[in-house]
Amino acid sequence: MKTSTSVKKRKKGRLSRYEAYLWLAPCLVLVTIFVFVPVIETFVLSVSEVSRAGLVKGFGGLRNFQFVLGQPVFGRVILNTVVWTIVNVGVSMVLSIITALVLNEKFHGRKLARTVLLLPWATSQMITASAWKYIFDYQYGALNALLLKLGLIKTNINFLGSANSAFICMIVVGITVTIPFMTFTLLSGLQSISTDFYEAATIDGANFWDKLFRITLPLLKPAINVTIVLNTIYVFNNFTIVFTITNGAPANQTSTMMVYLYYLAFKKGDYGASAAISVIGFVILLAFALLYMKYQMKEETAS
Amino acid sequence: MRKTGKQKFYLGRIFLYLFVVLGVLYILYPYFVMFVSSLKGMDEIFRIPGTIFPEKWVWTNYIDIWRDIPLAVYFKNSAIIAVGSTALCIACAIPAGYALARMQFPGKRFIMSAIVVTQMFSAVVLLVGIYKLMVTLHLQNTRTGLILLIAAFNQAFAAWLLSGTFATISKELEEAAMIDGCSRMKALIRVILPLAAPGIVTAVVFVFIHAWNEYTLTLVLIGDPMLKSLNVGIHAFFGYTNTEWWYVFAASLLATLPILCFFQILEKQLVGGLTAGGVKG
Repeated sequence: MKTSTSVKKRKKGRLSRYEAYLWLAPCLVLVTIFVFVPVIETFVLSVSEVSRAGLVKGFGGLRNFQFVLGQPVFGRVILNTVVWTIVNVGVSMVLSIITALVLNEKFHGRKLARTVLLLPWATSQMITASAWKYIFDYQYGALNALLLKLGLIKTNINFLGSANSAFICMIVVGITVTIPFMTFTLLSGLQSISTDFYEAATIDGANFWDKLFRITLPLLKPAINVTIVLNTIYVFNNFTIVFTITNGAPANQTSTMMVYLYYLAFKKGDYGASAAISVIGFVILLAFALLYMKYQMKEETAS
Repeated sequence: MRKTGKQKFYLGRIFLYLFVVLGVLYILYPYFVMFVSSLKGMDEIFRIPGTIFPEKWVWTNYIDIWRDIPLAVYFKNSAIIAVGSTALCIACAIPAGYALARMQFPGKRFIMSAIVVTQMFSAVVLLVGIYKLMVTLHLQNTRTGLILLIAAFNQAFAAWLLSGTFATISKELEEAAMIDGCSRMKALIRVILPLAAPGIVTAVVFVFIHAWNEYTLTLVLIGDPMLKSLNVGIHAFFGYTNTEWWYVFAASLLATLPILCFFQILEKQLVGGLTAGGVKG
């Protein structure tokens, strides 16, 4: 009697050990087919000879990579992507910390300010980017009209006129759409810091800056780390802003890797080369994520 | 001593309000531009120097857009895609999040990291792979294909958020229900889901907004003009020489309205929901 129940229990235990897979099945099936299969497809395409119709004609070795690396514009595209990602995430991070600190204070209209901050995150990036494209327009743009009316300029500024100035404008738009989500992530991190720390620090005579650098930022560090990793991935992978505003013009000088891989695949019909860019991008991101997490984890365990 | 403290306080307040007012103005500026430009006529948009407010308020722009492009069809497509992918995504993420929060099983760490890794792939990076898969499955140029893809690419986020929510709910509640004879499934539906409602609402709103705003996949996969979503459809106003900005912005503002309906929920849930999701690491 006793043994039979324990056998039954063990059997049930084994069943429930694997029961979890049943619960996970829908999620895993969906992700496997529609995320991991494209990952494999992309890797396969990158080392294949691909026809213009997208058919794999055979193994191509590293020819696609050689082709892509040999493009005169490739260096510029990589540089653009790195600048785009680092400046965007860096500036957004600093501004988001300030914004989160401000929105964590109590003041009149805080609720309204938080709601307004949601707008750039919740609006379609295509729509935001087209609004800014019009704002920056040389001849008819809203910003030039405004600056003229205010008497700040005498003649119109060609914001999107050169590759460099257009790129700066697009980074500004990128920062605008990156800040909201960053701020809300940091804000929830701020709210989990106990007020006891600040009370104790006030008794010890600490001023605002002491509290910021000795309490708030160190305790916010885990949230900051997660935010940096996630947003680096999002910003690196952003396609819509550059695609809508310049579409890489002139001659891919303002392209990031995402815009360039779209151009290669769907304008040039070179799926193999496009897949090679994907793989290069993926390796860069993976290296960044692993290095960052390793470095940060080491630091966290050390302290 | 005390006086300087007070002065410092007021100085801090002034900076705070200045920062908030400037920030709010900056964020609202593009929406202001879209609104006033959507009410200008063609001659006024292309006039030099430009105006700030419309001289003549052309409200008929908002009627014309329904005739110039099949805007109603785009609305319908966007709604089908967003509702379909959100429903599918959440339906798959609830059991997954529950299993990750409650059960121990071999390979759990592997599966968790696999789900996290999917966060690293955006649809854009995998564009050619996705395109090829969709052609193979005969799902290119269909809304079904988009629904499946959007649901899959939002799985990681939704499952992670929901598992965080489920982990905050006491195990004893469902154990009590199961002792009373409920199956695990029934316990989940009857006991856990109502308690997890705030987290689920957050996940639904997030996925819906992602789906509503999806652009790149639709651009690449949908060729049939009658299957286009709002984002891609509005792009039709971008001509080769001149963009019909007044129509672009009128349609854009209408396309943004459904999202604004969620703002009340978002404002309430975003901060609390994210904390429950375990941003702490």
